Amino acid sequence: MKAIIRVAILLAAVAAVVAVQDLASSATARPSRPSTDAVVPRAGVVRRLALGHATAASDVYWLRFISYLGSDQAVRDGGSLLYPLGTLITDLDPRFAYAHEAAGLALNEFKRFEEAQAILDAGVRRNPGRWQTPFYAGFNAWDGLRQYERGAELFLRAARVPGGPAYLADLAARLFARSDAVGQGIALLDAMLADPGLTPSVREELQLRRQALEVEGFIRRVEERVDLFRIRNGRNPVSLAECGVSPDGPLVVPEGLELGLDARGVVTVEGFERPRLHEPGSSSPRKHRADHR
Amino acid sequence: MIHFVSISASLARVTVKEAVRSKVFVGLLAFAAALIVLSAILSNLAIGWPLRIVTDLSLAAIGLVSGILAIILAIGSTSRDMDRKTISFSLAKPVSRSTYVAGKFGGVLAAVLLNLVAMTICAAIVCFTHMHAEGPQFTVAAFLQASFLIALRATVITAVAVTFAVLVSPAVALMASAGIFVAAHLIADVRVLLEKADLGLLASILYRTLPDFSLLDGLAALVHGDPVITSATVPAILYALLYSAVALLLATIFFEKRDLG
Repeated sequence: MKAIIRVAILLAAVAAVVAVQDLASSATARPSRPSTDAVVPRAGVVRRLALGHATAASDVYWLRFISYLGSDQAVRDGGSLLYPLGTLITDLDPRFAYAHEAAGLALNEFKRFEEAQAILDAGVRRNPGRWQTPFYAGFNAWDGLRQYERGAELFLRAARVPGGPAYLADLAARLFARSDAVGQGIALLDAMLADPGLTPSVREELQLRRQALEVEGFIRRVEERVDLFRIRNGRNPVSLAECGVSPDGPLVVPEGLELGLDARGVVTVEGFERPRLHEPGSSSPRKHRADHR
Repeated sequence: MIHFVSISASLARVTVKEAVRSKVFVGLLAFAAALIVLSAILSNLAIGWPLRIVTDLSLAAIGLVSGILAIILAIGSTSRDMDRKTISFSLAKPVSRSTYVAGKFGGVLAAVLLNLVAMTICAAIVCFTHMHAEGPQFTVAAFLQASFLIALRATVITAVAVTFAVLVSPAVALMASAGIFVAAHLIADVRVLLEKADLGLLASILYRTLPDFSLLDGLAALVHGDPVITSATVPAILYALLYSAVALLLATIFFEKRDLG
């Protein structure tokens, strides 16, 4: 009988503790704080508290990052904790390349493009042997910041890393074309081609992109002459020869390229696929400015 | 010399038997195993590089548990001898105090290493089930090298704990050993901070007095797929062995003068 009474008292005590705990937690419950107020410690402090196990501490915060990323709080906050957590993780272990990339993409997803770029750029500096990090940095520069030249430079950097896919050079050429920085793209490609350490396949791909940008640059000069003609004469040119584009010069069409004018006076191109870009956020390729005339 | 070795070995055997039977030994082994399994579960929640997560967390747990075990076993075993007065019996026989210190150290270290081997096997099984997943990879040899460096850290902290255990009361020994275990992980950073604050002399004294475990860290290299033990690590291994030897020598010298009455 005594044993039963003791067990009953014990159960009652446990139930009382649970009830009081619930009461206490509901009494102190507050609406969740905006995460900007939340304190993410500095990497130096965490490194010391982890007794030198910086990579393990980085992993623990990485798990916290993932749990926050998938939480409703992140949606409510607009992902405001992602950058401080991502910075902490990558400062604790600068060689945790995957964390740089995933944090950058998560920030991009939350439209925190500047923060995404900062963390991805740090990853590019810290892990030069990975092509994925400059690739994602280039993607964020293009997709988020709309900085096409910067994106192109990062894609080219990714293309140069051993193991980097060859299509990155093509993507970079399209971005240079989109950014009206064809000359700069050619100069950058020339600088890259001067590197004797390039693999033959990468060299070949870069040379192809250089040729493509040269042709694109020529077409743009033709389009500028057509624009100039229209302004000066108040009408569309009948032929390209009227704009100085002829076998006798001053602008000589490269071999294999066929240029013409349609009924609206827009330059048409055959024998060459112009480097165009799929515009971020759109479902159809962006039309080139010449097509709008 | 043969006498010294055989009596130390006998003392060590007794210490190991005592240690293995202790609840702390089994409890910490179970705790480490639980942490390793937990790290495997957590690695599945991470969206990439699972091998890194499981290796990092399980080896960090092994390092922590080994250090705690070394401190508790060294102090527990010695204080039991003192409390039960068995130390007087031991030392009444032709057993010198240096033999006693060597035997205690050998026994505690053997028990810690036994625990470490068990934990390492457990961690290795978990880690190698995550091999060939995305992220940096490492070899079995690299994994064993990282575990060897953890064993060296355990050797140093065992020597420190045995030294305090034979010289001061158990409570003081526990606090001092635990403090040194923590400080050993931080001393490299502390040294830089003190030097920045123009306290170069203090930095130098502390750095030369406390063991520097940052020299014996193989975990970061392992999880990034780099070689763990290189030619640069060899002096660190020698440093750990010498530091332990000096600690034990100090223990012997001061223990000879201690009145156990």
